[in-house]
Amino acid sequence: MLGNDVVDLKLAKIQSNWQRKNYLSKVFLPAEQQFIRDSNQPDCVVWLMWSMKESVYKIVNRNTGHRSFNPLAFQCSFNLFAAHAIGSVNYSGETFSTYSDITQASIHTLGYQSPASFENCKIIQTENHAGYASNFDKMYPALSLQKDKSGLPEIYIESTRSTHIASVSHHGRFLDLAYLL
Amino acid sequence: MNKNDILAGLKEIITPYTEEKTALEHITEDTDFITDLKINSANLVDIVLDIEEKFDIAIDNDSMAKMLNVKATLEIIAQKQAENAG
Repeated sequence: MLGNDVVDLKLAKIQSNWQRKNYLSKVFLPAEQQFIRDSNQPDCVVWLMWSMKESVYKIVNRNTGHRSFNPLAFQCSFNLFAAHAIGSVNYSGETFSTYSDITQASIHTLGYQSPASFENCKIIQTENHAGYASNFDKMYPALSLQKDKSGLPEIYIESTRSTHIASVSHHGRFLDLAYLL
Repeated sequence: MNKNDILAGLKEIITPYTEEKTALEHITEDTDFITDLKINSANLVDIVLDIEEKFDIAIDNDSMAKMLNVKATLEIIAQKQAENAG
């Protein structure tokens, strides 16, 4: 299984003030708050861990069908490089892998659960518009973005006539779609 | 505080975080913060903090986990207020 999450950093700056009193303690565990304090780019670390938690929440939600808002149940660790981060998220005793792309404009995290691997996940980033599904199909005529019986996104590949589990995330200027090959 | 007062207070808190003004106008117990009001999940934290301040209660993590819709949120506010009063 896979899940993804994108943060438009420009919009996040306007939308959210993580420096607000008590904000961090609702979202991040003590060790994670320490990562933020120790970093010389705290904004980046906040939204990196946020997107890691969200991407893995999407996997858990899809596996269980259960919704909740419990960011402290997802424990992040990561290695941060210049333009990406490789991490893992522990949830309820299970470890999920994450890969994050980091630019000045956005942070996108792909979370995946074995047997899915980074190599068999594909990511497409495009502009976010209202009615993005039909827009996406126009831009990528070989693919069709549709919903399964439960309303969850999937990708249909015309050439192989195969259907693939997908995860869609949109925030601000960005729409990111990840699917399992 | 009765349920209608709590709902009115909650509506006031939610207003800056949603652009779905029609859904907000017709808010009921069945309104979902994410699917109906399209509230960004990072702003759910702000809503929880605003509720704590406005209603003078502390919301624990297990309660926050359930606060995805109006019904659960009203129940949690009422329950925490009762605990404070007791």
